[in-house]
Amino acid sequence: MASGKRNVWRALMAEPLGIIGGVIVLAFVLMAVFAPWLAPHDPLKIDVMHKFSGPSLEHWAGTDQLGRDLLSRIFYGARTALGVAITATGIAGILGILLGLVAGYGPRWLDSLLILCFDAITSLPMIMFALAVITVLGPSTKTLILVIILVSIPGYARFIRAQTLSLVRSDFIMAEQAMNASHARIILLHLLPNVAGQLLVVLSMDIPVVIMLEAGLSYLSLGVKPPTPSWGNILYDGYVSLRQSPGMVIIAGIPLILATLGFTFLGEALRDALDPRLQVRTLA
Amino acid sequence: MSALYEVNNVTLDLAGPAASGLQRLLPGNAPRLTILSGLSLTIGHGEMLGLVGESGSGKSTLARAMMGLIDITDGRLSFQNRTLESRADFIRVRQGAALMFQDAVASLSPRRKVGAQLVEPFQINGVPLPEGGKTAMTMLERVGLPPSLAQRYPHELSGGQARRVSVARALALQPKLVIADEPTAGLDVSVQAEILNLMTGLRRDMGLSFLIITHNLAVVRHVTDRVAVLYLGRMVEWGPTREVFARPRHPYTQSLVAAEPQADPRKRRADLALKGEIPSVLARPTGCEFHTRCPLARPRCAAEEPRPRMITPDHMVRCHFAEDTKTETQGGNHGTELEH
Amino acid sequence: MSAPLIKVDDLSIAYASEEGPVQALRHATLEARAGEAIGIVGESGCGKSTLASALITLLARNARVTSGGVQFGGRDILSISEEEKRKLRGRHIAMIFQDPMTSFNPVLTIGEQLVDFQGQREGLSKAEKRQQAAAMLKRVGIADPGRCLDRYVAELSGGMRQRAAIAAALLMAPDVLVADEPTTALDVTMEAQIIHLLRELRRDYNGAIVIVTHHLGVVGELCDRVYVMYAGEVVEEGSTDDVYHRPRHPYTRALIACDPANLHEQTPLLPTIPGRLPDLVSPPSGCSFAARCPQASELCRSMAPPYVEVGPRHAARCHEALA
Repeated sequence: MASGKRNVWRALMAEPLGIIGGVIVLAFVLMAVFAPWLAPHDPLKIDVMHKFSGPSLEHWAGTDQLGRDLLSRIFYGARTALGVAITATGIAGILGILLGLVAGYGPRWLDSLLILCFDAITSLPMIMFALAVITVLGPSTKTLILVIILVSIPGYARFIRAQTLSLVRSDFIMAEQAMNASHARIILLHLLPNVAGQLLVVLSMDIPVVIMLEAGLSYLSLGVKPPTPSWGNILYDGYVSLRQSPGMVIIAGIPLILATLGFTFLGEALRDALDPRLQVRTLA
Repeated sequence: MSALYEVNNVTLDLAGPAASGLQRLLPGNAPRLTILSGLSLTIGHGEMLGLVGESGSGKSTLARAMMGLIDITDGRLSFQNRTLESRADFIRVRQGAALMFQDAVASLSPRRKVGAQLVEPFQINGVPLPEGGKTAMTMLERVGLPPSLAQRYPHELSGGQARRVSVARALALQPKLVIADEPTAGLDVSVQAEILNLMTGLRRDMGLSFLIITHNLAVVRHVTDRVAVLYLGRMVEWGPTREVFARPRHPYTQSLVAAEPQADPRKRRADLALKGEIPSVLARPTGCEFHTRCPLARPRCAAEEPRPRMITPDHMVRCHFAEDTKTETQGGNHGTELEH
Repeated sequence: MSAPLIKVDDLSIAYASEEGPVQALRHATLEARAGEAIGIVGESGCGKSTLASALITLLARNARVTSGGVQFGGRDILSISEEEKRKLRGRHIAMIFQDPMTSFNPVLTIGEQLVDFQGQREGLSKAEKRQQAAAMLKRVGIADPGRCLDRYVAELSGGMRQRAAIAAALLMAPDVLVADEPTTALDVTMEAQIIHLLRELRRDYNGAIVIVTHHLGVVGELCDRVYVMYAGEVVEEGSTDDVYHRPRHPYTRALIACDPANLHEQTPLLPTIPGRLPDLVSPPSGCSFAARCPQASELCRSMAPPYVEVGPRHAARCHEALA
């Protein structure tokens, strides 16, 4: 019988949408990593003579209000989008796992305290919270990441806590306790591997949400500061100059939609592949 | 007989379901549920003790309490003649006694290979591995499994294999006592026989003591020396297995023996031994807990708690009318045959 | 003697797997008559669950019928359309599952579901259907059927759930009732009560009852005839009394011997059946039990044994059955 990991890979590849999602995600990752080589122009180079030019051989996706090459800005924008999304969800995921495990496995007072903190954060409207933090720290990519981490942690931690709570009462945890296993051992060796996989799914499905969030906050001039290319900034520029060049909004919107679809497909396929109950088993 | 493990007058209460939220903050009479009540038993060196009763009788709770996984409310536990009080005492118990769970697959960590889980007791308790890198293989061989199983994940094992793996892990630190919760539940009869033979063999070769918790009377009758019958957290009968099955004195034990389905169609019973269901601990009957279902119940049973009576020096019955219940049970065919 | 109500004829079923088709059921033949209770007994992997799912036409998606069929009402019910199968289930062939939790929807009350199950019954108002349901609950020994109707399955105890499941199965007065391990999830006392109930229900039930179990005790208490299965084959059939007292197949003998319930003396070593089930992807060409059989000869290993009639309605698949 094949090992667990290979089964997951096979199940993932059996899902057509998973393959599509994987290909899209891979394309965006390559786009972000190789942006300097792929981009035909400098994304910051202003060429006012050729502003709002439509698609041409020189500028495949046209130029914006300052005559900057849109395709190059989209490629570099992928860098910003994925950089922010992966850093923020990654850090939020790790902190969420730790806090969730502690809340689910630890003493009840600590659980109650952590839940109180999570509730406090989630009770604030997200945009208000972001505005408050950004007003204090000033808009920048780092602030943006911090805001995203702060608002994401409660959700992840609660998810991990719920999973942990159901595992803590299971026989194998009690069996470990009956062998004198330490709390650290139980958490790291037995709880973590059983909850981490599920969180990975949640994270991969959250990445498009964060990309949208980054675009949204950048659109509101609360995120990535211009002239750094970001899909949100391009959308904003396109919206402002909708009259002159209606194509800009569409061109900036396409990668956003594709990235959202790609990560969602991949996340859904990953969820099905990781869930052993959904795997068809042959009867012995 | 010097006792290996002694359970002395143990009571275990849990907070009732109503005690939640605000109620828990209020002082005073929080509702308590009595799961185990005044329970005493001893397990001797090299003894196989059976513990039987329906689900809801507190069998598994007792096993967990004996390992220090649930705190007892009152009474005394002692292992190897030392009273268990602190956390350190229970660490000692867990090195000298092992617990086997009813669901063997569920008691193995789902994302670790069998081999890694077999050597866990050594790693956790800082005991050097006896055969170095080959420990897991040797352990598997000892319980009659191929060494290649070390590379499998728990869900890839059959019921019988998982059970053997849990036996192997229970034996890792060479314990004096193994507490086995439903060791043959869900197994085919031929596999059940293999597991029971494995356990009796270990007892013979290594002088192990076993506490076998089960509702399978055939298993108890076959492998145990003494048997304790539990009803709603209280011991209602306790004595040598042969004697208890031959002459069950408590009406509950009699009904249990009579309820066992017979493979021989000629021994079919037309009547029903025991009607109704075990009451919930939320609504514990007054007096004798069994009076609501007892075919012999009289008014006194509802009013007065029966005291334990010693019918013979080692046969205890908790029934007001233990002297009157000598009649053979309807299904007492085993009893009569056991005597010959 | 009446004609068989349901008849399994030379049925073979294989499951698709990575290693190749698993021949879970091979040339099984079985029949159940009206008013009769038959048992299908064997250990895990013997094919009894596959046979049960074929009887109620609920085969797994990767299952394929490679020979034979199930005859009911003059046709092969495995080859009819999905729509016709659906009409058949519940109305003509009903099933009681091992875990009664799974036979009820957790978010509907028992009453709502028992009314719903009678959907195909025409000319009855909702109130009449509810009355029918209450009457059936009463018949399966539920003391307060009115209250039970308003409960959810999670609010019932294990024994009550199984009673309610039996009521649900009997509601449409099916011709065939298939019970898959009906008492396995229960305690001894509950098991005895459910056995007692099924036995009582037989008095005024005219259909056929098929009990699938690994527990010889259930067969002994309930069944008139029994089919013993091993490695996908029916290896012995006969009256329960004949099979228990005069087993002719070595596997039947071994199965009876290793159940401690049948041993009255304490022995240091229980009899076991050494060896393992044969690989069902490529079943042995000879007798499938030969590798584990104490009496196996060269003939047993090389040639598949015939199904030998050893008495009236008693047969065993063994070369030595008449010896």
